[in-house]
Amino acid sequence: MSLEGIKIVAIDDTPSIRTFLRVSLEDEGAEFYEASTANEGLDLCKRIVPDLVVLDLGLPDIDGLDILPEIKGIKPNNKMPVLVLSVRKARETVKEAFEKGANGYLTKPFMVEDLLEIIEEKLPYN
Amino acid sequence: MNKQYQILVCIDTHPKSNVLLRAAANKSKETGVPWGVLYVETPQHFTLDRDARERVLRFLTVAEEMGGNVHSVEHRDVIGGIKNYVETANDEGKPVQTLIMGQSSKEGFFDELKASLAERMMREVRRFSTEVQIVPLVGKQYISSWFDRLQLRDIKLREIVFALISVVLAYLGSEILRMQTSDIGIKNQVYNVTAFFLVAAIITSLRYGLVPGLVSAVAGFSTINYFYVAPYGGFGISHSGDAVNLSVFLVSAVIISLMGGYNRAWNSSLSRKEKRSQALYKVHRLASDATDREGALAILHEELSRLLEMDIAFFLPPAVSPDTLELVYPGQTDFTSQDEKSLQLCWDEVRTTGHGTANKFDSIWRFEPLTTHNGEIGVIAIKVPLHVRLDASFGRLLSALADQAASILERIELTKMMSESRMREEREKLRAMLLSSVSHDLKTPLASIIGSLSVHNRMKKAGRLDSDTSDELIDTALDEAQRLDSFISNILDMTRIESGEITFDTDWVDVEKPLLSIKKRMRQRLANHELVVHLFDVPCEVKMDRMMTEQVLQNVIDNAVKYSPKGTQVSVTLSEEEGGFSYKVKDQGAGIPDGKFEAVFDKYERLKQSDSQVAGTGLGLAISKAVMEKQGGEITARNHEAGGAEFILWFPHMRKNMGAKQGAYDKERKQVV
Repeated sequence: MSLEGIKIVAIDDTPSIRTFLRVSLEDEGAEFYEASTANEGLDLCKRIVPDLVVLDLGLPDIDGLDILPEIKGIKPNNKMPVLVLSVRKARETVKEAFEKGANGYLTKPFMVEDLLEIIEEKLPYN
Repeated sequence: MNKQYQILVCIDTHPKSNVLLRAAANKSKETGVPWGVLYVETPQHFTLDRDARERVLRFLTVAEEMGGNVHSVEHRDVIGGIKNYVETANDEGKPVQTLIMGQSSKEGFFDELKASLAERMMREVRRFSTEVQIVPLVGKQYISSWFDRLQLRDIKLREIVFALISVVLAYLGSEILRMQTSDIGIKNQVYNVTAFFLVAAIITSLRYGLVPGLVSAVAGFSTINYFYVAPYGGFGISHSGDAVNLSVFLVSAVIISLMGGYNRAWNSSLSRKEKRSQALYKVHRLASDATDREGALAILHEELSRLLEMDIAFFLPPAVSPDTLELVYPGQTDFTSQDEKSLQLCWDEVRTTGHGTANKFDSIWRFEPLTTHNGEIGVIAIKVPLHVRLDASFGRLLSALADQAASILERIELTKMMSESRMREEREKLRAMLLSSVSHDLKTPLASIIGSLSVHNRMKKAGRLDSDTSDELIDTALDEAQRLDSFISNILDMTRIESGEITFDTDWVDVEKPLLSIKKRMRQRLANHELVVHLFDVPCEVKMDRMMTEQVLQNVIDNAVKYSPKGTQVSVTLSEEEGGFSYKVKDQGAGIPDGKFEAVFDKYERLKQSDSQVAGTGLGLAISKAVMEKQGGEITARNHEAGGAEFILWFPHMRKNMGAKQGAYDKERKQVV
């Protein structure tokens, strides 16, 4: 699988998570951008207009679920693909994320293969 | 206006008055008209003996239990009181349809001549179209004996002495008059001096009532007889004129004493009632301020005892067995087995028992149930002392007091329950937050470790892993594994300290030793900061648990590093302070927000904030506080002048010493600095 030329923004407040996301996604050929807060992430997405956003929920300034609709709206018809990565696994949280437009939901911790698989299978740019 | 007729029954102290109550209740049942009972409290009421007064109380209680409304009015005489009541009721649109009164059987010549109260009443209320129904009562109206009327039990020595002194003063006054005047007529006329003694009797009876007034009258009579009536210097009367004079004096003095006694009783009852209503208000206000049951009971007990001038006791069910009663205030009472029986009856049947009630077991205690609309919450006991002059409204006053006490106690109980359940909720919420925070804090480093290693694995298998990338991934995983380790240790430490599982092993420790090992251990953590240590001028030792203290220092220094920008200084200053020793750790960060100096040590504090930009569990400082307290010391936080945070670890016991070890010490010291 190749993510050649695909622009991905990761919004996560944990540096080590961003590190391994960067290493693995760049290795697959993606262009990787990162932000550690919700506000930074929103600005970055608006500037880059990426092909995929990887979003953590427990962000320090605004909860990920609250900025999800706005991120979706960056592309016409709310079509921005968003993949949620979170330690939260309560059914209500997952349901809420999908209702707000998430294209995929991966609970932490996960193996990198799971991440790549979900990107390959579920995301609409394919 | 719609008229609401009523049946009114008037009672007095006649022992058969309950017959009247029954008549009224029956009539009410027949006609469907509500009934009420009226007792007119005249000044005579206060000269009644104890039994009679108690009987009135009992009838009023019985009436209430039978479903009648209880009214007691004050008036100078019974007829006037009833007439007033009937008039007022008529004006208020609640005219008295039937007035029921008792009439003792007439026996003897004088009784036949005297128009009875009931007959006179008939004439008085004729114009209100009120029907007067007379119920004959068997047996003579109870008349209290002269001995009882005198209320000798109530007499105080002081009052008798006052009476005697008044007579002495009257004697002196008349002697002075006799010496000052040369008029032989004044000197020798008895009626001139009787005026002095009459004044003495008036003042005494107005001030202290009947008996002292009578004492003054009799003493005055004897004095006049002895000194001013022939034969002088002895008792006896030789002239008939003197006899008339003296008799007139004695009769007027006795009448005045009687009037003075009534007057005084009347006034004192008025002022007592005034005092009561003020005191009731005060009790309410004071007890409303109380926040716990004990405080409220203490206030209620003190104020009610003072208000009633009686002993009060509160019985409430203990928490463990809500069906039984327990004396909760004051510590003890002098109950007899009869009292216990009355108390139990009051509690079981939720009604007033004891003194002045239908079911008294010869008790001087009266028991009122404490009830609120949620039911019975306890019993208040009032000891009615023998000498107290009860008025007719006493029973209702007590129930009003009981109601007030009950509502105050209930309010306190409810407030307590509410705040307890609020606290429980709060604790539950915190526990849930702690759990979710702990799972988040455990899973995030794990996510990094698993993620990094799986990337490492995948790239290595694909043969695309260069050594820089490999190092980066492995270091990331390692850092996160260490973070996880310290987090888990923190949680375990906290749990073990809280459960008391960790035992502290305090000993004299050189204050620089802990710093030495920390410097080694934290080398990596301090890579971007400069640790500056300001040593103490002479070697010294502190009583501490070395391992635990190192842990605290590490937590605090770690905290300083976390919250201050890279490249800044973190300093540790050792100093003697308040008879003990302290480590002060300063950073050059933004400092602690105002009002949070205590909160930083709260293990739940970080949970309450939504932002958690800085990694960590927030447990480090909570653990540090627990550890310092276990060692008898303390840890405090503040901001220093330059703006950063300053944490002070204080130990109570230190000693300066070790001249012999100075050499070895200096060598080690170089390593510390």
